[in-house]
Amino acid sequence: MIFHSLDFLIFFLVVFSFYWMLRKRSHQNWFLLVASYFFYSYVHYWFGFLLLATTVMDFCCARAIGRFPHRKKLFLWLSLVFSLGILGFFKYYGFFVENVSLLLHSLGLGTFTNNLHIFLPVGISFYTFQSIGYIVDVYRGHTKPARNFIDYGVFISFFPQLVAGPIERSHQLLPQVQRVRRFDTKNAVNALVLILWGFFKKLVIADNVAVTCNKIFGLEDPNFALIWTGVFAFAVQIFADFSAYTDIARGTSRLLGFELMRNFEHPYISRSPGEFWRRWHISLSNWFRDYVYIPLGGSRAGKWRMAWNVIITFFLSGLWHGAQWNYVIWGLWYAVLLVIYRLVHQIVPARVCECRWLFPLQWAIMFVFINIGWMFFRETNLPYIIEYLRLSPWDVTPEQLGIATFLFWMTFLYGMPIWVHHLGALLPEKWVNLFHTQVTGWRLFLLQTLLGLFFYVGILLLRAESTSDFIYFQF
Amino acid sequence: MPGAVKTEHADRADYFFKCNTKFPLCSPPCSATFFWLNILKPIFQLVLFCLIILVVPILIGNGLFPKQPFDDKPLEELRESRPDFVFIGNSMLITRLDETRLSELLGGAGVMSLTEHGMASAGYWLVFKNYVIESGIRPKVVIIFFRDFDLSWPLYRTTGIYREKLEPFMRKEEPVLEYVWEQSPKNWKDRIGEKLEDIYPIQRRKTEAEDMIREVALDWTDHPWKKDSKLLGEVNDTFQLRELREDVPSELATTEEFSLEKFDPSPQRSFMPHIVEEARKHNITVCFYRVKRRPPRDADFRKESRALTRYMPTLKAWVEEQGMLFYDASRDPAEHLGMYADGDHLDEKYMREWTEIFHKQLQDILK
Repeated sequence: MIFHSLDFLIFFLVVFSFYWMLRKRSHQNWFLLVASYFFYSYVHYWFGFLLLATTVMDFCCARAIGRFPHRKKLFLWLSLVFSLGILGFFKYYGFFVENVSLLLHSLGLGTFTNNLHIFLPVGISFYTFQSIGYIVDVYRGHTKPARNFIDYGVFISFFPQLVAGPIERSHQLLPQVQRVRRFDTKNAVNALVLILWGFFKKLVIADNVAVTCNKIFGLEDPNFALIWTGVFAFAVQIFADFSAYTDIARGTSRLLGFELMRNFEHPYISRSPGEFWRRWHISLSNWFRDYVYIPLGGSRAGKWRMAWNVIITFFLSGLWHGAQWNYVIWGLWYAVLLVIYRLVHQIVPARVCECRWLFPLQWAIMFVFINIGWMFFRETNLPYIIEYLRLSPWDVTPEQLGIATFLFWMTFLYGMPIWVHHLGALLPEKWVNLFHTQVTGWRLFLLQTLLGLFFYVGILLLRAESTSDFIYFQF
Repeated sequence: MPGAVKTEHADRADYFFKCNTKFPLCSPPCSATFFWLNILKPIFQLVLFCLIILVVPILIGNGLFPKQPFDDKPLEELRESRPDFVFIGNSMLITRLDETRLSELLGGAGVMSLTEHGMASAGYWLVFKNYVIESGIRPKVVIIFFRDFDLSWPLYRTTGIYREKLEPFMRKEEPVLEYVWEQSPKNWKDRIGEKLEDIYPIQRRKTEAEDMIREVALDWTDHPWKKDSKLLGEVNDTFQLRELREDVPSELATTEEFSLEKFDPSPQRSFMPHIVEEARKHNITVCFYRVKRRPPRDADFRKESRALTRYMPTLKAWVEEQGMLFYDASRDPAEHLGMYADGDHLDEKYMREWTEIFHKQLQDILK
């Protein structure tokens, strides 16, 4: 069930109404669990069975870790093998078979064809990582194993964040599931504005810009100007699309009394790859930091080991995004950038790196690097990537430049609310504090209402003729 | 003063709900100020917010963007030019027919097209009734261009921006239109969508809003062609299907969402019986011309679904039974892939050639 559909609107209205009629927390959790499984099984009923299997396994393993601490490693591995096994099978089986077949063929050992066409359950990467995070936290003693299966079930299957995150940590979401919730009318307007902003980003910005992006990437022989305009369009599309999902998820959760983490913090004002990954898909980058990078040794074991750890972490991160080599290249691109930036920071004095006059240059450079990364991410066909990298700007005719410029401005204009939002993050802190102290009460309400109206009218007037699933559903 | 109420309990609102009794019976008693600030005011704000968001666009839509009036220019043109042959269609017709060339081939006969991009059978009915019939002229033939299931799909392209395009063809009352639309099978989503369309007519101004953005982008583009709109033509040419990769699906406007195995002549199922009835009443011959869709790279014509293969002969049989004409050009090899631009539209430079093919196809009718 996708957020921007009538089905979801009706589903949510029903859930919201009945949920708040229930006074007891346990009843609310039961209801949420049923609603979440209904939401997830809406596409196909066996999705629900898969989710249930993962939930039961991890719940039992976590309880076993708590009960048999001397055997905790066994239960941890049992849970990890099960979760990663399911993820590996559904997501990477075809990729694995294809590449092994290619390898065997190149070695002259014949080939074999993949006759098993596996349907990837939507959101499997997200909830699998969420449950792995939980089991590892229990193993490390950071979280107590959940005693109530319903509570744990809601933590894993909570429908606003089930299919595209944020990947919540047990210490953040589970306590919210386990405590009493009351409808907060003060926060409700805030939540509705967030939802409307999410729909605006998806239906107006992402879906309109997608038309330009898809057309350019569908060309057999684009020129330099056109392909980089397409990459820019994709940068706008993917941010608008993914952050829209998160905002709608956070807004609907807030209406149900939950607070989900922010997954994006104005990523396009980043000045370094490290900063980018502290602002983009924060829940995933935190997950990889805490469960892959740090256990590997992080940056504690010398610069070569650190570089190696970064490469492994981003290799896995790329692979998480999709079972194709272009995603791996995208991940490794950031690994290389991170390593280079760290080396540069070791050479260049800090006062130079932090000089405010250089900030615009740093942003511009980082934005170019981000776009290069998006080119790897968008284009799944490797030969085309090579071709794009070989294109020369000097081969572009004035007419072609005119066409690309026009499409660039179209993309820029549709993405204008995003640029304004990003610029807001650059305001001096004292202005922000002044805003928060002055704009309160009815003034805040008026601002929220104007914003909500702007988004709603914008959606009515400018939503794209055709819409698509959220991009991150495919992961 | 907001936030200045000091209470004994940490969360009075929470306590209030836990009391499960109504104000002022809960204990300790909640002050009126506290009650207003922490309970009533947020609820009031929430309700007000929802009302403003939902209602203001209705007022904007109805106030600033009233329905478009009937456009009687085509009516006047018909009465003035009194063409021998009238063509009705959408972009299928616009990108194919060269009226001047056809008129030459017909020895100077009057030819006139009544077209609108994106029009479908509802538009064909309105144009036929409100222009051709109402003009009082008696053309030799009225030719209606259609694709596949168009003629049996009365709801196709009748919402959103397409509804806006129909308004200039509509009189104040359109009983047949309302009747057919009302009787057409709709699921609950269609009904809700329609209701929302009626409540928020502002949606029909999408094209204007999109045009505004396009104009700004054109202004900011330093290009010598922008003023002549050649730039937009070049943009379209850049993305013609022949420029696309083989694995990219062609962007064909598709009617595959709708499928029928047999033509249904019931008056509530399509505009066809109404068109034919009006034509007979006013002694006008109508020819329904099925256009050829873009052929694939490796064949002369597109492979049809089983439903379409069964449907078309039943449509043809009914049309001919009613004394009207039918021509199916979907498999004519003379129309080749090279003639096509994007989707089912032809490249402008092939319009003349296509018109000559068309003249050959319908030479018995176009006399």
